[in-house]
Amino acid sequence: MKIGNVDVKVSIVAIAVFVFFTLVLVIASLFSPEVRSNLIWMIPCLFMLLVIPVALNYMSRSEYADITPQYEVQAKTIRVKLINESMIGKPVRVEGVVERVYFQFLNRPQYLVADRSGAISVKMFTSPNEEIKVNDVVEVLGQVIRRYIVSGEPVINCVSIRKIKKS
Amino acid sequence: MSGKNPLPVQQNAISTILCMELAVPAFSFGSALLAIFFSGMDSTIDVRYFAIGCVISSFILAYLAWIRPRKDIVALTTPIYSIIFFVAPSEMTVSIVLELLYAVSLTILLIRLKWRFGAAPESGVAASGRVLEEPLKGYCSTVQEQVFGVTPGAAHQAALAFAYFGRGDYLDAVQAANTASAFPEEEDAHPSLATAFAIVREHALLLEESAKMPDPFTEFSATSAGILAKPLPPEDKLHDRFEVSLENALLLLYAVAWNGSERDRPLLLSLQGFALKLFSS
Repeated sequence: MKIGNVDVKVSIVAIAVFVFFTLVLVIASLFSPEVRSNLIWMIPCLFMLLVIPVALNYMSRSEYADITPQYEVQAKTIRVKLINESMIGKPVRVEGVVERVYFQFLNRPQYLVADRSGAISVKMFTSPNEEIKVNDVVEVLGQVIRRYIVSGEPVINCVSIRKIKKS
Repeated sequence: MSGKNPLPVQQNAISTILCMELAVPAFSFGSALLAIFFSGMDSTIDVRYFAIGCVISSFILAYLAWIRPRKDIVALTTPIYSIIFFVAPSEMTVSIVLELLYAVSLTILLIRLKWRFGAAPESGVAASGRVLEEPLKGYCSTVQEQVFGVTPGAAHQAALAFAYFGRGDYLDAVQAANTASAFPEEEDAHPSLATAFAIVREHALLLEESAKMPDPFTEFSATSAGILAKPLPPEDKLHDRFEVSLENALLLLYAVAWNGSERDRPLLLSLQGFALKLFSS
């Protein structure tokens, strides 16, 4: 679904929740007159289960789209091995191969990206512009953060990930 | 000038960690066995109190997970589960079975922690930076024996160049390397150190401009091989040589700074995680 220039994606989990509660509401309204009398506010609430994830995804994606040009300018292309704890907060650009993809279905994908020097976790807090799969060669733009915000090894908080050539 | 660390402190830390690792199964299985023992007797003691051993084990396991550079979220959350499982009283047999299963789980998690998340740091606290760890410590000693007489000014610039490079402040690293070249006596006395500065400068400039590997690039001479932390790859593997040259240069600067600039040691200790990463292949 496209809103303005932003291609909004709803996670399968949000759709599953919407479908589940729709079924619950249909069944309940068939058997309970009391539920039927409250459909006037229950149906809008049901749709909010879809509208809220769509709105959140739109906001996060448009925010990421706005800050990507800044990262394009500021980020230095760096080898994975040179990323370390003292670089927390620095914008970086990493080029490598996607070795693993996690949590794609949640719209919060996490990638393991490796180059010749090592591998690093790349966390994204919104859906990427294009579908990234294992073995894709990608360019990652992001900021070095700790895995658990205040502790853990350095990972990349991804602002943009895009394929730079087909594997 | 001594580059040595207080060894007894490290040995104490290692033995403390070993004791804590042993304490995980000891407390959890011990409490379960005590519960079984007392439940078989006509004792007035409520054997469910022995579950406190499992709770203590969980906290020890969580601490062991916390001090590692890579955190194991499963081991870190075991105290929460121990409280959920054992704080609410349950039937006696259920409690004993639960304690036994929990003790087995904690032991498996401890093995997993050691297997997948590496050894606990010698200092006992991750990235505390209180002591220099191996193999960095050994390398600094080696460099101390082979490179002596480096002026404190050059050693300080080595520390700065390493620190700026590690932090990704590449222009500052170039500046530090340039300042070091203002010590011409070093270039004659310590050609390897001068080459290290030149390599770091070259790489910092390339990284600042996000440029690719140049051909040719600055390398250590064959006579420097004895002082380098890592052996150079074969000449046909240009990319590997390029990267290993930088790692060797940074590690040499670290070691020279450690041995020659005492005032920079707190800074260097705070960056030893990066130096240790450079050692890894």
